[in-house]
Amino acid sequence: MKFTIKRTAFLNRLADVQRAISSRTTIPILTGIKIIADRDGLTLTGSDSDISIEAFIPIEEESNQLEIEETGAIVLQARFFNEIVRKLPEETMTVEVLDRFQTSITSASASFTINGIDANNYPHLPVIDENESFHLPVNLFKQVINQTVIAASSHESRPILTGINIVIENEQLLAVATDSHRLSQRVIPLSMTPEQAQKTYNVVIPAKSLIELAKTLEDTAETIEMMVTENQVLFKTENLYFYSRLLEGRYPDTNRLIPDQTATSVEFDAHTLLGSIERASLLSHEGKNNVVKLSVNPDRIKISGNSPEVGNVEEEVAFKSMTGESIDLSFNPDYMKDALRAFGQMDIKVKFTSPVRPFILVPAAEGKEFIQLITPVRTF
Amino acid sequence: MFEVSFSTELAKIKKKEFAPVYLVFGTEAYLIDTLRKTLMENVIGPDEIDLNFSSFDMEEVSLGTVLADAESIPFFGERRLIFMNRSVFLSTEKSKQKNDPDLADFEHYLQQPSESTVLVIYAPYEKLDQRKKINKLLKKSAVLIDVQPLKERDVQKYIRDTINNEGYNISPEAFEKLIQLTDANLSTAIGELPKLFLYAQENRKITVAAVEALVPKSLEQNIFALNESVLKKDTAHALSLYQDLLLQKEDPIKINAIMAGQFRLLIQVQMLLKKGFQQSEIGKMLKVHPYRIKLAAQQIRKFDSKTLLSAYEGLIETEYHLKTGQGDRKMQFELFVLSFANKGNSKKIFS
Repeated sequence: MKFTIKRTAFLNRLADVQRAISSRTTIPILTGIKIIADRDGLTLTGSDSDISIEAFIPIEEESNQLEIEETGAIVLQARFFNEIVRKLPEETMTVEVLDRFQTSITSASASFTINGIDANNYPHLPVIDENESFHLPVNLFKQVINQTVIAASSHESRPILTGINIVIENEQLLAVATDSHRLSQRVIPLSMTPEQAQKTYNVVIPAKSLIELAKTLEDTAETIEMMVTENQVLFKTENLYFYSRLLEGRYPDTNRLIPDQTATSVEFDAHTLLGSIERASLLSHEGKNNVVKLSVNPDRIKISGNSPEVGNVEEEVAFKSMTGESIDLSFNPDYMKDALRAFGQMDIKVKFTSPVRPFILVPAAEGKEFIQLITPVRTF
Repeated sequence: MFEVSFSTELAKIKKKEFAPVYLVFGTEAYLIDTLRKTLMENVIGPDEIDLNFSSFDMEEVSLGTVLADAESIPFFGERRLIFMNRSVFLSTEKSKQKNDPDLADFEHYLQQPSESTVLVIYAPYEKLDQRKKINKLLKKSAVLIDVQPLKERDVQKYIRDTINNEGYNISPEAFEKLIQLTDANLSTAIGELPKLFLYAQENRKITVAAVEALVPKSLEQNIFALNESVLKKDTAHALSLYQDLLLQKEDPIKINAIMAGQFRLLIQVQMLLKKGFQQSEIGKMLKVHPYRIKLAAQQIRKFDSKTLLSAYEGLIETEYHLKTGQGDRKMQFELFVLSFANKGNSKKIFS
């Protein structure tokens, strides 16, 4: 195998597949990056057996300056290879496989020779039936990921909660994540064929996979294709295939968790409320338990944080409107900050039922397309 | 007595009368397992497991993580159920985690536990460190459930009751055989019952033949029988048992080591009994299951100390030959059996 390519074009794709490679793997070959050169271009593959990413660099795209002198395949140690390519002196580079899988990388006067591994030993990627696919708008789907992953659990003791539950039915995609202290739910419409609209898909994708997917998705791409099998999901853009394993088991029914009654409702500017909570949590993080208190009254809304070791903070929060009863409750400010950041600059409504039941945050422009739910914390 | 407290507490849990904090202290796997299942079935519904149940390994997780869960109001339903496994910070054992910075907060929580959380602290240890403030606090604020291994007669009663409650009868000989084959270990014995129940489904009677056919002998028991044959100088039977063990892919060094260990136990028990110690005291001193002490005491009545020492020394010599690669590994033990049989005569009990 021998090819020459523009270094920056190669590095961009290398960075994509590198996301799937972990140094902590039980299969040694997976610490490497697989490179295949054929008549159409280069295919780079990285995998940690949970996530696999395959990136294609087409020969026909002139900006890549790709020339393939000899087809073939090799697996190279990702860590070294990546560093070498980044540090090469010239704008173009040549990669050539020599005897016994030794591989030379040259650019101008710099020349490296590193040990490669036979590409035939690299595990095969799953085969996925491409007939059953959905088209998702990239920008919207990235938003869905970023708004839901915040609520996924990081504790492996409850594996199913480390994923995002994605349900596709009735021409819409519903994404839900919860760690049993908070929940985030987002719904987006899908354009589907009549046959697709008949089917229902219910899968749980590891949050870690979706975080990596969001990073690889370029804003220039308009749509992403999604295909589901029994234990794998494939996301596909023009030159990138992103595979992830699915989590086994049934995701808890979260519909019943969202309260349908409201005792108190307050409208805030999300950004303003976020600022207040960030200030209150400066002290709560130092304290015994990371909790801030919210007191809601018709005439004033107060937020306070307290740390016996450091001191206390109290702030009156600006709000746009309030309906219902007065209420006092405490919560983990980190959960609230994550939720508010997900709303960005918009106006939101915070709806309470009681100091000991979860409360919800929704966009002020009523709608069920985005809901964040947070469980209060009891205080002594 | 503890047994009562265990079953009383179990009954309360089944009646949905929960304490906010339980300290489950002891190492009897069957009792721990029963308690776990009962709590899981009664504190939270099956559809709440993912949302309101947490299980933490306290050798890996900080108390702060547990507290964050415990103080959180249930997401859905009435309660959160939290298991704190391997709570090594309560015991005298060394922990991977040095002083947990959240210990003071945890002590604070115990004084005012959340009413919507059932916190179950598992301490599968023989001793708790009574000097620690946390243990003094737990004595006051937690419901203590003792799951230490039962005494042999309690194990027997528990197993007999379980058999009767399922509507089966067991002959005294079969019962004795079951206890013997399971080393009077509650978890092991209870684990064998489903097979016996299935086998005796028609006439509801469990016989010796059924027990012998269905309850496997452990390696230790096979070697116990081998010891007996060696001491009786029944070479044919001893060599036949040894061949069976080799066919089961047991390593000659391992067989020899377990045998030597058993002979060492016989010698120790013999010496301590002569000094006037009770069997229960010997069990504690040697850190050995009381049932094994009882069996050893029965076995040594038949042999003098000279015979036991001679066999023990022979095994030590065999071990040396095995480990230094002298001669055929499988044959070393056979040579020991034959040479031991030719040394003087044992007491004529078996002649």
